[in-house]
Amino acid sequence: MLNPAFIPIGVDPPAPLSDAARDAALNRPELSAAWLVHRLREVGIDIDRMTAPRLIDQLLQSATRPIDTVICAALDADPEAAVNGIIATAFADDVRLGVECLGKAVRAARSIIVADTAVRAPKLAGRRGGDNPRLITIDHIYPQLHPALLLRAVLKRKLVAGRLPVEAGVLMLDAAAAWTLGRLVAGNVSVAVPAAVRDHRAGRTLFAAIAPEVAIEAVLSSLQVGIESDDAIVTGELLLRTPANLATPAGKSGLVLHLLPRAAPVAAEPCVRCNWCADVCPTAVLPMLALEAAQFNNVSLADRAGLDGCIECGLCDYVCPSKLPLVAATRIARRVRGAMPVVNG
Amino acid sequence: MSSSPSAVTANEPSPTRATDAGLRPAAGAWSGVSNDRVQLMTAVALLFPLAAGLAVFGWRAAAGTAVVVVTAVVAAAAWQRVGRRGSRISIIGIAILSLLLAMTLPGHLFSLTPLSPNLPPSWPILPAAGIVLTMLCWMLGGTSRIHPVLLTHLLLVVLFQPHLDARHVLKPEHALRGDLLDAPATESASIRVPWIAQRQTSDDVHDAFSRVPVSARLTPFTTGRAPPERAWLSLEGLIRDRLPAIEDLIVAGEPGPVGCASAVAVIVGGLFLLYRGLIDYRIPLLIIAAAFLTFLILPVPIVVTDQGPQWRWLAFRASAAGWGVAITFANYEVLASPLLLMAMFIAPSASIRPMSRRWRPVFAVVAGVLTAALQLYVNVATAPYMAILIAGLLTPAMDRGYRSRA
Repeated sequence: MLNPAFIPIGVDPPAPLSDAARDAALNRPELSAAWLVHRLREVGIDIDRMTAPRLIDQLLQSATRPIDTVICAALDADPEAAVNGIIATAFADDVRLGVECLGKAVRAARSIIVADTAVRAPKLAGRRGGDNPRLITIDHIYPQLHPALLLRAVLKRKLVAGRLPVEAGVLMLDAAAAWTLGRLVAGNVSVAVPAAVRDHRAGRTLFAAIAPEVAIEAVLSSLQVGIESDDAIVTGELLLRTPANLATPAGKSGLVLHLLPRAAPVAAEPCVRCNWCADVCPTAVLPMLALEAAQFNNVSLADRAGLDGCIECGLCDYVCPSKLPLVAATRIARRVRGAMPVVNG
Repeated sequence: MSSSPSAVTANEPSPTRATDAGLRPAAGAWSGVSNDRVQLMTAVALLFPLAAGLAVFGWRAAAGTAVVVVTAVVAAAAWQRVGRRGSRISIIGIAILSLLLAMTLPGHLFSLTPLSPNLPPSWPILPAAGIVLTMLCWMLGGTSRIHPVLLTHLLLVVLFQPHLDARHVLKPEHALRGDLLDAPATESASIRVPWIAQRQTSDDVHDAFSRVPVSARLTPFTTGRAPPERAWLSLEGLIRDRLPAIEDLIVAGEPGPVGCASAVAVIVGGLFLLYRGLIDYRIPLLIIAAAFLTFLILPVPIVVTDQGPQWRWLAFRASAAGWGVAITFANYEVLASPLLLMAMFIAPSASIRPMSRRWRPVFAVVAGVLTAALQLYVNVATAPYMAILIAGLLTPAMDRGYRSRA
C-alpha cells in the first residue's frame, strides 16, 4: 500500500495501478526505446543518477547496442532516505511493470531486480512464479549500487567506471525510475517522480511524489521546509555533495535532496600517509597518488594510481583524516594523464 | 587502516598549485576522524603502559614524563614560528610523540642529585629530550621515514648512556607514590620471587629495591662478552640462576623504561589501537613472531667458559639447551627489550611502515629479524629502536613500486 509519508505535489495521490492498466501497458503496440525517449522528453523527465545513469542516453544507445539484461536497483545510498526501498515495497507491481516494459522496449532477454536483503519485497519477483524479472537480494553497503560494482557483483561483467552500462549489454535503472516508467507507459495516470527531502538540520526525511515540471524550490515550499540563507542544499549521494539548483524541475533533479546546515570551511592538512583512502576504496584506486599527480602534474604517478577504476563514490574524501580533496584530485589527475572518461555524478 | 602519531607531515597541497587546479579542501561529508583525533586515540592507548610505568616507578617517572612533554610542547610552540615548515608542526602531535619518547626513558631521571658520584645530575636530560624531539620533528617531518622518537632516543643513548641504565623498581607496597631512588645500593637477593608476590618485611626502610635488569644480563652473555664467574656459565644456568621470574617482565616489576614496565599493559594498549582500527595487526604480530623465531634460529652461546663462548646455530638442538630452554630464552629476549612497545606503537606508524599493504608483512619481518639479530649481538635495550630505524629506511624502496590493482 501507499506509504503514508509519500506526499503528492502537483499530482494526484499515487496509488498502485490496476491489473487491467498493467496488462494494457505491457501490450501497448508502440512500446519501444524510441517511444520511451519521446515520452520521457515530452513530460520533462531526464533521469541521471548513480543508480540510473543517463537513462535517455541508455535508451538511445540501445538501438545500436545489443541489450540482453535490464537491471533495476532497488538500492539506496542513504538508508535514511530510502526512496528506492520504499517504492519497491509499496509499489512492487508497478516497479515490476516498469522493468518488464523496459525489457520489452529494448528487447532484453531477461530482467533482474536487485534489492537490499533488508527490503522485504517478495512481490518484486516475476509473476506466476516466473523468473522474469528475477529478484536478487544483496547485503548492500554503499557504493555497491554503482553500476560498475553492481554489474560485477550480479553478472560478473566488467564496466569501465564512468561508462554507460549499455556498453556491457545492460540497461540499468533504479526502482524509482522503473515506477515512473511504468506509470508513463500505462497512461491515464498522472506521471510523478518520487523523491526524498532529507532535512539533516531537523533530523527528518520527507518522501514525495512530484510532478516532473515542479521546481525544487516549490517542492520545498510545499513540504513546508524552511531554508536559511546559509544552509547547503545538495542533491544525489550525500558523500559527493553535488550542489542543487533550486530552479531545477523535479523531473531533472536527483532522487534525494539533502538540506544541511552550512558547515565552516574545513582546512586541509598535509597527507599523513595513513593509506585509509586506499584501504576504503572499493575499486583499489590509490587516491593519495592521484593527489600527488594532480599537484605536480606527474603522469607517472597518475598511471600508478589506477584512475580508470575510480567510480567517484567519495569514500576517500569521507575517511581522509587530513580532509584532502581526493575525488577532485582524481579528476584532475585524469586530465593530467590525458584520459578523461565521462563520469556521472 | 593504520596510522599513528605524526607531528609533521608530507604532501601538503601546494597552495598555489592547489588553487590553480581546483584542489580545495573536500566539501563533502566527512567522517570527523581527524589527524588530531587519531593522535588523541593513540594517547589513550599509551595511557595503559604509562599507568603501569607510573605504578612501578612512582612519582619520579610521572614528573620526568611531564617535563619531557611540557618542554616539547613549549618548544613546538616556539618552532611553529620558524619557517613554513614550522607552521606544519602539530602541537598535539608533538605532545603524543614526546609522551612516547618519555616512555622510552627510565623513570629515575627526574633527580636533582647525581645518580653516582662521578656523574652530573640527570634531570637536564629530560628537557633536552623534549627540545631535541621538537627540533628533529621540524627537521625530519614530512620528508623522511625516520621516526623522530627513535632518533631522539638513540641520540640520548649515545650521549647519556650511564644515566639511562635503569636499576630501580618500587616495592609493591610503595607502588605509584614511592621514591624510586630510595633504594639500597646493593642488589636485591630475592630475584626469583616475582615482584607482585613480594611482601613487606619489618626491617624494610626503603621504597624501592635495586636489580640488574634482564637486558643487562642477556647482552653480555649473547654477545659472548660475559666473563663467567666460575669459569663456566651455560644458557640454562643463566636463565635458571641469574634472571628474575618471567612474571616480572609480563606483569610488572622489571627495571627499565617507563613504557616497558608491563608487557600486559603494552599489549592492552596495542589491542586498543587495533580495536580502533588505527594499526595494521600484521605489523606487530609479524615483528614479534619473526623476532621470536630468529632468537631460536640464530647462533647463541650455549656455554661461556673462560676460553670463550661456544656458539650453536639452532641452540635448542644442543644437548645443553633443548626446546624448553630455547623457548624460555626467546621469551626473555622478547620481553626484556622494548620490542613490544616498538612493535605496537612505533613500527605501525604511518611515517615508517610502507603504504602498500602487500609490503607491510615484508617490512615487519625485516624489522623483527633485525631486532633479534641486534639484540643478540649488539644490545638488548636499544636493538628494537635501531632495527626499526633501519627497516624504515627500506620503506621508500618498498613504496616505489606501490601501484593500484585496479
